[in-house]
Amino acid sequence: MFVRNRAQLLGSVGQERHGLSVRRRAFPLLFIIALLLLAAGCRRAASPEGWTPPTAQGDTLYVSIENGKLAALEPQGPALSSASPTASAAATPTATFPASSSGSPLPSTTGSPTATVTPPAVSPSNGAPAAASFRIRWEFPKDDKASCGGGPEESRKLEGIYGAPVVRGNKVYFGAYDGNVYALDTATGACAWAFKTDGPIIGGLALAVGDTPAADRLYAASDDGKLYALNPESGVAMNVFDAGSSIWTTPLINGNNIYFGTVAGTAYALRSDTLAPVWSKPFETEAALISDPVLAGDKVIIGGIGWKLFALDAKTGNPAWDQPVKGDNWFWGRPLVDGKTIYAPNLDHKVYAVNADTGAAVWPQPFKADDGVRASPLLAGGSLIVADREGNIFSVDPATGAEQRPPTILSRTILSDPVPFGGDVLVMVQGGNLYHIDPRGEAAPRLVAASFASATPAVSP
Amino acid sequence: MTLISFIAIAVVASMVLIYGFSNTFNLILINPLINALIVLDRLVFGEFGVAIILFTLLVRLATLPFTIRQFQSMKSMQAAQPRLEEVRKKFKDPRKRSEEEMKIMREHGFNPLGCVMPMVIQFGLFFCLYRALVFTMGGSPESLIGLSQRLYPWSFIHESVPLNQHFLWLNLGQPDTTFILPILVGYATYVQQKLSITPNATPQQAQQQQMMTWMMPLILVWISLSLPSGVGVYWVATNIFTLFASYYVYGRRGLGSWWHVLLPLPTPTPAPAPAARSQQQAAAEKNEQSDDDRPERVTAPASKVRAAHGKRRGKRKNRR
Repeated sequence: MFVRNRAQLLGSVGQERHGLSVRRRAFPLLFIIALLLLAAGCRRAASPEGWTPPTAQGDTLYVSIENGKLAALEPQGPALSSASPTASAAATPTATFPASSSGSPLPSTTGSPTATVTPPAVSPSNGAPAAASFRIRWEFPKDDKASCGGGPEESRKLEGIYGAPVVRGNKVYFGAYDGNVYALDTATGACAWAFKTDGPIIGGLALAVGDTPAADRLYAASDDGKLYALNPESGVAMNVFDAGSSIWTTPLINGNNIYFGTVAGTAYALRSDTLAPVWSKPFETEAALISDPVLAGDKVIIGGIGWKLFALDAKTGNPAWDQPVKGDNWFWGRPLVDGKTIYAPNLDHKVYAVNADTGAAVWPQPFKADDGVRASPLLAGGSLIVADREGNIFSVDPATGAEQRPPTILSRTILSDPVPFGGDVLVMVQGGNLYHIDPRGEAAPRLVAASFASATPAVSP
Repeated sequence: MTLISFIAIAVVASMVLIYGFSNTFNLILINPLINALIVLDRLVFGEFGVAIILFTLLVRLATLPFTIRQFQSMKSMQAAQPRLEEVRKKFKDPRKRSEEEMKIMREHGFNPLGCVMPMVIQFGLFFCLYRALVFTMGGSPESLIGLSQRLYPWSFIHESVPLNQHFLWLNLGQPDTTFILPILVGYATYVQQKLSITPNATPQQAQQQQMMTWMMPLILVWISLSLPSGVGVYWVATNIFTLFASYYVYGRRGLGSWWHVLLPLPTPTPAPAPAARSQQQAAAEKNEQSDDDRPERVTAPASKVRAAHGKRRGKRKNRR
C-alpha cells in the first residue's frame, strides 16, 4: 500500500505537490532557525565592552580584563626589561604623555597645595618593574555581586568601563557604563562607596587635589548631561553642573578651571570649586565634541564627530586657530601634545601632526594606519606609537610621520590607549587581553594578562 | 529587463569577489539603510522613533506589490476552497485528486511563491534593519565607532550622530525592560500570522500553520527581550501596515475579520462545499444564526477545515 502510494506520489503532478509541500514544511523551520540565530547574536552586538587603559600605581596595574569588571594585577615572574638589554638601557624617561590630561592613567598622589593639574601617571621613572606576567589580586565585582559602603550585597552589572581608573591614596576610582562612580580599596578591592548618576559614564574621571584632603574633588561626567564634583572620601556630590547634553569626554583640570565637551557640540570651562562658567559663553559647534580635551600651552584642544579638531583659548573659549584642523572622519581619541606639536588620531585611519600655535600641518602628510585610530598615540622609545582599530601597532617617526619599522600585528581590536610601563608599552585589546610591546621593536609582543573569556591568541611581531 | 538583471548580478558577483560577501552585503544593503535612517532622522527633527516608523512605511510601500500578491494568492485560494473540497470528496485516487487540485489552483491563479516571497523579503528587511539599527542606535560606544566607518561623507549625516535614543517610554538602542514592547511585538506577530493563514489541503500543513500562529509570536517576544527596542518598533509598525494592506485587498469584509483576529474568539464554520452542503447545512445554518451579530468572516477557518478533513481521511485509512 505504502509503495503504491509512494509511486503515485512520484508522478508528475505528485512530484510538484510533494516539492511544494516540502518547501512549505521547511520554510517555517528555516524561519525559526534564522530567528534563533539572530537572537543568539543580539546581545553580543549591542553590549558595551569598554576601552579603559590600564593604570599603574607602584607595581600594581588596575585594568579591566573582563567586561564590566576592574581587576588589580600584581607582577609575577622575572622582569621583562631585563630580557632586553636595550630595554633596560632605555629606562630613561622617554615616554611622553598627553599633556595635562587629567584623565590619563595615574594622577599624582602628591599634589601641590592648590588645586592643580593632575599629572599623568605611569612613568618609567616610577621604578615599576616590568613583569613577565601578572596575576589577579582582586576583581570587582566578584561574581557580579558587591556591597558598597557597608550596605547589603546587591547585584552589580557594570557592563563596561571606558575611562582610566584614578588612584588617590588607598583608593582607586572609576566610572562604569552602569552609571555609577565606584571607589575601591586598593588592597582588597572592597567597595568604599558608589555614586549613582542617571546615565552611563563613558568618559573618565578627573581628580583635583586641594589644600587639604577634604578639599580634594573627584569630577565625573555622565551621559545624563551633568558634571558631578564628588568628595573622594565619602562619595557625596558637593556640586553639580547641568550641561543639558550628554558628556562623553574626560574632564580636563587646569589650575582652577575644568574643561569638557558635550554631545550637543558645546565646550565648557567652569571653575573647579563652584562649577560656575568661566567663559562668557560656551564654545559651540555643529557636531558632538567627544575627544578628551587636552591642554597645549594656553589652548584647549578638543575634537569630535564633525571631523574637526579645535583649539580654544583657555581663558576666553574663542577659537585660537584661523581654521580648525579638518580630518576625514571623527576625532575621538585624545590628542597627544608634545611641546609645540599635537598628534591627533582620527577614525579616518590617519594621525595628524599639527603645530599647536597655528594648527598648520607638521608632517608632509598625515600618517596612514590600516584602520581607524581611536586610541591616543604615545611617545615611547623615540617613536610615536600608533595603535589602530584592527590591532596593528605602528612605530612612527615623530618628526616626519614616516613609518620606522613594520607594524606589530596583534590581530585584535584596539580601542584602548596604549600606556607606558617601565620603558615599554602596555596595550589592552578588546576582550581583555593585556599585551606588552617593545616600542623599539626588538622583542616580540607578549601576552602578560589574559582575559578569562578568551584563549591566548597568536601574535606576530 | 533580463539585461538589467544580468548586469546587476554581474556587478554584485564582482563586488563579492573583490570585497568578500560580508563587505558586499554591508555596502549594498546595510550602509545605505543606515544612512537613509539617519537622513530620515534629520528630516523628522531628530526623533529616531518617528524615523523608524517613517522608514517602515516607505519600505512597505516599496514592497506593496509583493504584499498585495500575497493577499491575492490567499484570496484566490479561499475562492477555490469549495471546489477543492468537492474534488477531495469526489476523487479517492491521490494522484487523480492531486491533478485536479493543481488544475483548480492554476485556474484560480494561485501562486505558492506569492505567499512565501513577501515573507522572505520581510524577513530579509527585518534582518537588515536589525543590523542597521544595531549600528545606528549604538547601544554602546563601540558600535558608534563601527558606525563612523559606514556613514557617507556628508556633514549633514555626521552632525546627526549620536541619535536621540529616546522615543515614548523606550530607549531605542536597548531592549524594553517594561515588557510592553515585547508584548506588542508578540501580539502584532500573532495578528499577522492569523492573517497569513492560507487554506491548505493537508492536515500536516494546517498543524504547521497552527503551530506557527503561536510559536512565532512567542519566539519574537523572547527575541524582543534582548533586541534593541527600535527593531520592535519596526516590527509593530510593519504589522500594522499589513493590516491596512489586508483591508486594501479584502475591503471592508477583510477589515471586518479584524476583531476575530485581535480577539481570538471561536470562529464561525466555513461555507461548506456544494457536495457537502446537505450534510453540513444544519450545522452551518446554526452557526450563522448564532453569529448574526458578528461580522462575516471572509476566510474559512482553514485550520478547522483541514483538521476535519484530516480526521475523515484518517478514518478512511483505518477502514482500509
